[in-house]
Amino acid sequence: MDIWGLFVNLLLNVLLTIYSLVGNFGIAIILFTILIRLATHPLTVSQLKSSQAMQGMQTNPRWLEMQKKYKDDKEKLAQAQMDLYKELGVNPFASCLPTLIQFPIIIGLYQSIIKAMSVSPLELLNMTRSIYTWIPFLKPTEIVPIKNAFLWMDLAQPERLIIPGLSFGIPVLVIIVVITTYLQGRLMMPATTGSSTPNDQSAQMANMMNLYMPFLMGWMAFSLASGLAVYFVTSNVVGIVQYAILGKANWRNLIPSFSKKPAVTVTQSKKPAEPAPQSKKTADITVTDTRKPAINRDQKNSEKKIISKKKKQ
Amino acid sequence: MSMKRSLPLILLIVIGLLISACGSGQPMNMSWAGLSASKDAKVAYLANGLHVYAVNVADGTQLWKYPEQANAAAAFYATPVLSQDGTQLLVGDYGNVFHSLDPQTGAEKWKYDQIKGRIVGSPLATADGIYVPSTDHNLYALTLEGQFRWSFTATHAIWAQPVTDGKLIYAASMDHFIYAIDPQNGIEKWKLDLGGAIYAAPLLDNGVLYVGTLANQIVAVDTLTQKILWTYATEGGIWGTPILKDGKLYTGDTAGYPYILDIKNGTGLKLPALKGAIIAGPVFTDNGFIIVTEGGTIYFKDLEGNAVSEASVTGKLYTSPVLAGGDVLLAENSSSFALQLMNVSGGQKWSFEAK
Repeated sequence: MDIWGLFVNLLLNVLLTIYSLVGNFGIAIILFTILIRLATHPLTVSQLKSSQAMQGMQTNPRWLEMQKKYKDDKEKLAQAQMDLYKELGVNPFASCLPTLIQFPIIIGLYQSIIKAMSVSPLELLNMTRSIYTWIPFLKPTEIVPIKNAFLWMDLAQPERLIIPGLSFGIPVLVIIVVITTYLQGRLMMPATTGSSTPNDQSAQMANMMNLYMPFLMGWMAFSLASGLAVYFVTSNVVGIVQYAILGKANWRNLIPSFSKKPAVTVTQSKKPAEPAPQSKKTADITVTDTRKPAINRDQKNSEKKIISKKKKQ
Repeated sequence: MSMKRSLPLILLIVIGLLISACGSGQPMNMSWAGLSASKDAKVAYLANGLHVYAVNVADGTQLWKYPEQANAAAAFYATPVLSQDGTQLLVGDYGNVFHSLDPQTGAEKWKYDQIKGRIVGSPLATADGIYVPSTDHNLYALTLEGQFRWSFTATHAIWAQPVTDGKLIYAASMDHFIYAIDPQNGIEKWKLDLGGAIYAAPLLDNGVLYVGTLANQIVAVDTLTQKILWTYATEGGIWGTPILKDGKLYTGDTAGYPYILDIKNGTGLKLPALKGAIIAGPVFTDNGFIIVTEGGTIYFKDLEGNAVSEASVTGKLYTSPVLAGGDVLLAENSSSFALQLMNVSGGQKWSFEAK
């Protein structure tokens, strides 16, 4: 068996062990997802820090200046950006790496759930052969068949809630998947993204992902086994809780009135680390910073100074 | 839409398709083929993936396939069954639809699409009706014209083909139970826990059900007293229906052991292990029996279990062989061809590639 197969089997056996302990496959999927999210928590934190450092770069005056200066020369712009990354000690790929590491884990998790639910004889045969029989309470003869019933769902079938009187089933879990995916995307998005410049590529990408992702996840939840929809919802909710606990959830993205609070005023000047002017007369550009203070701290860490810039310069 | 804006959408679609392909939406090679033959053994019926094929046993040519245009959501793996009068070929698919076909032409006569789960097992066709097992935990009773009569609900999927003694329908479920059901109204008469999930159709003979379970045992159940007569522990799970001749029960398990058991008391003979797991049920020949292994070896044995000869194919063998005249039809799980006719000496007569 290849390495990937061994990895999926490992996850499968963890899932089945939880199932054999709790006796309910829906709860086993929920606990398994939480376990995996906790195991990859350090990666999530690392990704968050890196992406915030990158976001800090986007508002760096030198960054903005080079965007203007080399707007017609992409090669020079890229070189200047790399130089700035080096100078400030920011690794542009550091935020991608944890995601890349998490991606196979998520796919493996998905495949192990599919494998456990084995909806055909061949799948069931292969599943029983993948069980680590040396684990005392993992007996294929006792585990099979997996009891797929959970709440109103058959976890091996696409979910529909049948309400008496209605001739069609309502895909309740699909709706929850769409909502939680959207919420997670919005909460993870920096507050500045919404007010960033139209040319800000990363902001555009984030917005587009935020728009498409809920529909993609909803479509998968609609058409695939509901056990996966349970996994999607759990993963989304745990993700939101993780971000909230870390203080990185941008609630302002959900509740616009949050931004009406006294804004953190950041004025930009070429002079390093001067106190921000209090009067409108001295602050030619006032950036209303809707981000959390933590982001400002990261920005300070990367640049170590607040620079103000005059509009008419 | 600009390329920059399209990129996330494209990425998401690619990821979605990749994930979907890993999941339950993928019909190809999900399971093993279903194989049966006409009463005169002149036509073989093969349910193999996206189509059901009728193949001329004389020369291995395709007579028809159903449907003409493949539907990715409707894969066929359940063994097709002929109605008692031979005018309908009955087969269910993984898209939750049950079909009645004209055995001569493959034309669809009717279909029943109110089933909520995949149809893994073969139907039972009697003179009065059709009984369709489903993974949605139900056994559906239909008229011979495809009209719904009643449904019976077990606590888990029903993968095994039901059997009948003319008075009751016996349905074995993955929930470890065998259910005796009144064919008139679908009411449960009795049920019995056999201690393990049941995939293979039970064998019913003289009021006794012989049932192989995935919990490594063969169980004999007296349908009159509704009691277990005896239980025989095997080394591995039983996936194939046993066969019976002269008071002896023949079967094999996933550990590769064939068994010959005395039906009076369940005592028996465990033959030496074969090369590979035995998933398919055995089949009798004129003077012995054939048993196949997953690894693709076909063993010809006499009724005492002595080896007569053996042959092999390149693909995997999960499906029970079917006798056609003096020859053997084999459905392979292979990428090259799906069906072949072999003589009892192991020589291949023809092969048929399912396309």
